[in-house]
Amino acid sequence: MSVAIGGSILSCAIIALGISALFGALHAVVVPFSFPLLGQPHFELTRFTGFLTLLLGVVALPTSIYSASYMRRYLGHYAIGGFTGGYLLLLLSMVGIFAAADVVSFLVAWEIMTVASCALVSYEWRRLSRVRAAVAMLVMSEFGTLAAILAFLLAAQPAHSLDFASIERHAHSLSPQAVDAIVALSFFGFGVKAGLLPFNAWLPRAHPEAPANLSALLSAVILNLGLYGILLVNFVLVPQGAMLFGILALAVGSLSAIIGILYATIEDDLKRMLAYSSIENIGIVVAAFGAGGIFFALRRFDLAALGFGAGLWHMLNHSLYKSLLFLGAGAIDARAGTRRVNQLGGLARVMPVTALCFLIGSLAIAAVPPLNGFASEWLTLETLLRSAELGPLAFKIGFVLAGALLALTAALAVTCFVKNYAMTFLSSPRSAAASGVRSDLSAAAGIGMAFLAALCVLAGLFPAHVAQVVDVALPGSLRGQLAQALVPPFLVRGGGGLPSDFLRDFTALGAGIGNGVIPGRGLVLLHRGATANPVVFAMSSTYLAAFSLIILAFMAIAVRVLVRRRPRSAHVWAGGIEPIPPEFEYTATGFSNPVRVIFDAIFHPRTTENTREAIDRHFRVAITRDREDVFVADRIATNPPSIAVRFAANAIARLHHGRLEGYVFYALGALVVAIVAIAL
Amino acid sequence: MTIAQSLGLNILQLVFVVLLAPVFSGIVARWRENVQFKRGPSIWQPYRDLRKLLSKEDRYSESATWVARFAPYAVCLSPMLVTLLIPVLTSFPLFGAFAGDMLAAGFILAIGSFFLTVAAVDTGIPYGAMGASRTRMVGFLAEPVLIVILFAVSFVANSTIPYIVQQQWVQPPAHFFSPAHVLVLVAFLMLIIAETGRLPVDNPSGHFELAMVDESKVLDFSGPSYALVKWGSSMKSVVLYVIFVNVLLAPWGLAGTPNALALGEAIAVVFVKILVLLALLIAVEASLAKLRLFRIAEYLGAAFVVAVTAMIAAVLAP
Repeated sequence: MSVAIGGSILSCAIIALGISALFGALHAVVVPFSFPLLGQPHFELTRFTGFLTLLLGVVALPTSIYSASYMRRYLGHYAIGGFTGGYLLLLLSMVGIFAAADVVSFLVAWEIMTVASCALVSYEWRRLSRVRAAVAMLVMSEFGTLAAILAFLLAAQPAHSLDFASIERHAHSLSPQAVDAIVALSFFGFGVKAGLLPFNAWLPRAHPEAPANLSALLSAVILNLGLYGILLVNFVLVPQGAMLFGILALAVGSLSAIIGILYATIEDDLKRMLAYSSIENIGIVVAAFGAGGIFFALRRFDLAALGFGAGLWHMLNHSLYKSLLFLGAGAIDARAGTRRVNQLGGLARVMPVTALCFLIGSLAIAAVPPLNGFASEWLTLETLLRSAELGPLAFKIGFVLAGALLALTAALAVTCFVKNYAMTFLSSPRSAAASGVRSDLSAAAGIGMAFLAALCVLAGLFPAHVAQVVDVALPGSLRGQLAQALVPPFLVRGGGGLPSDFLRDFTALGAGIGNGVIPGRGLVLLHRGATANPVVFAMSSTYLAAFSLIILAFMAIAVRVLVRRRPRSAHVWAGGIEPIPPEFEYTATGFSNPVRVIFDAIFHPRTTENTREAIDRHFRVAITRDREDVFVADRIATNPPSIAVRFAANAIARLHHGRLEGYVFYALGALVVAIVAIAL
Repeated sequence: MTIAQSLGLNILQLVFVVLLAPVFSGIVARWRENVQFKRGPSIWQPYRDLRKLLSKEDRYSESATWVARFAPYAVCLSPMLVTLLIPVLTSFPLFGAFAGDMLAAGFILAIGSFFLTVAAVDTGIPYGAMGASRTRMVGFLAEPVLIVILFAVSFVANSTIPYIVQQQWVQPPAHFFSPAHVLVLVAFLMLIIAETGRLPVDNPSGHFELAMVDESKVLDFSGPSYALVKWGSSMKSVVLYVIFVNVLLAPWGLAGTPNALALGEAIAVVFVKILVLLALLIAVEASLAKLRLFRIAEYLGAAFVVAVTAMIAAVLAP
């Protein structure tokens, strides 16, 4: 199929481009073309943007392969060619955004990306909900873009040039007020695209409505574009706003994380759940950036590298597992015809490949060691714990509160994905739709998902190697600091400058295993301290995985030796009723009900109660209670202006009353006002 | 110390936790009956139960997938991994101790609980899912308490490695009665009560399925699987006790050198320290009634407040 072939070829090209840029083999390209009035566009991939480009390619490749199976459901209903065109354009425009080295090319690529993604969200244009979601996304994104343009213009003022390089050179002559304005405008402007509170109401609407392969790209890559925009302005171009940026990012990030996961946990629609969970993960990333920003402003560059590194790393991991989970949800949707977890169940037996991949994705996103989500989430929390080294009390307390929110978020993420994996794939089907499923999607979908699942496992097993890649990608002066602060060179011949007694102690503990055999600096993530605390924190999921394998093998042998009788399966006992009817099962809603009850103040649901009364009108026999949860970002940020605009539009509409003399009066009035204005 | 020695000692720690975990469960069961003036079962009863269960047939529900078969192993795996990272018997770090700090240990314990809660739904009985949902509720409410405790510890010891915290935390010993230390102990004790499913959060000897939190997850496990789940959860309790007594409460009495005499002494001291903690837990249990399900949120909220107070005390301490 055209999407799969075209997308795969393009993604391979993007991967090659990303790798060559990440390892520094690429130079600036000036395109022989110029925008009218705005000068010549030029493109350049740095190591930092090369990393993001590589990530884009790595997600786009399996997604494209998956499309070969998935897009079959649209054959004969919608034009596949249109999707292919939009999809390829979207990928190209994203490369353009990363490669742009001046404001104009950046914005042109940005707008192409926005329009292409909105067009693809409304791909199933016969369904009104799809189109509404796309329009909501378009409108909110454009407001964000406007704010970002303002930030760019303010930043470009002293440079008298729209070139990123010259903006960066002249940024030191910006006034402090201008810097604050740039930080706020770019943070909230790009924050719309990144899905940060309070302007993310479009996200849980648009992401689930798109076809699953596009949802994967939307959550795994397009959100990264927003983060890239934030980092580009606040860190690469105008780094002196780091303090304000850090405080904003830490607060908004941890709030987005907790709000996102709360709504994800109670959500019934599988894809919308994943969309809310994207808000959560982006929140964690931004909180880590925030910690990095504060450390940067306080000139603790090693800790700043930990913060920004943790953020980039979590962004990488989120891209991998979230695209995997969206593809899995798409496979379920394509087979069962429903995305409601309450109606699914028992799919693991008929869709084993999807089930295994979804389980790996769930373990990764729930930060269960040794999968990839664990390493970055652990590092984020460790970075926050480093507030111990900060002087001011307010920072310490702020970091603790952010840490507590993120810990609650991490634990709720476990709850959320236990619920969604178990209720979707285990137990027995809860509806005819689920019991009618016979098989997985065809092989291409399996290959796409297995590719991502394998990456999640590999990135989890070798965290120290991933940390070194992230280190190369860190922008500016932080490059090299992350590896220095996090990966001691236990595997480098001669200890690579580690104190000799430290090296000796750790070799005795086994940290030098594999010296000379395994490439890279080491397998252990470890932050060194002073004499009283030689090690501040340490972790190695490589070692944990090895220990786990040994312990599991030992247990398996022991059980094999001790237990004589082979296991057998039997009916579940349910008070004598067989087979157990679907109504007997615990529902997904029931599973997440504790979250609903405990956090009722945040959900603030609208409930309506209908009481049907018995004929004798004395006893209530049935109560149906409807509950509607309105997303908190809708309640706070989106609904009030939309109500105000509607009110204003209604008021203005009264002017159109249709009487001729009235219109003549308007014209006359306008003329008088104009004359008076000119005369003054 | 050679690499073989440090590996051997860490395996000894593992053996200590794995083999002695059931006896601590037995002692708790016995003492709980004793305070009610009953005789109670023998402290060796858990071992007899394990032997009986291991010789029985393992039965799975027809709807179960491989997750239900793997979960008991995961339940045992988590506490065993954590054992390798914490000072159980020695005050000096052992082989592989850098593979995780106290924060990582929190994540490692999630391996077992993730698989067990998923497997509870896998069995196909509604009680399993109900128990899973409730355990997760206790789990997510406990997590912020743990991280704030870690912040408090980290503000004092400036490290999250248990071996280093152990040396820095109550230094000098007069700091034992410092507000930060006492409050962290209270918060962590409340956390242990919640995580190990004891009163007032959960009643481990309850027999009414609708009121269960922890136990209803494992109703449909049988034979060797059930044995592993039982063993694993008693190991998890012991690991939490060890962190409490050896790292936070009284980091004294551990072997400072790798010789047999010091190790023998450490085994005895740690055993006694855990017995003292168990007596304390029994006293708490005997004097409190089980909380209603949604009052657990208030209980853990209180633990959170205690932990935050401890953290602020740690920050303000000179």
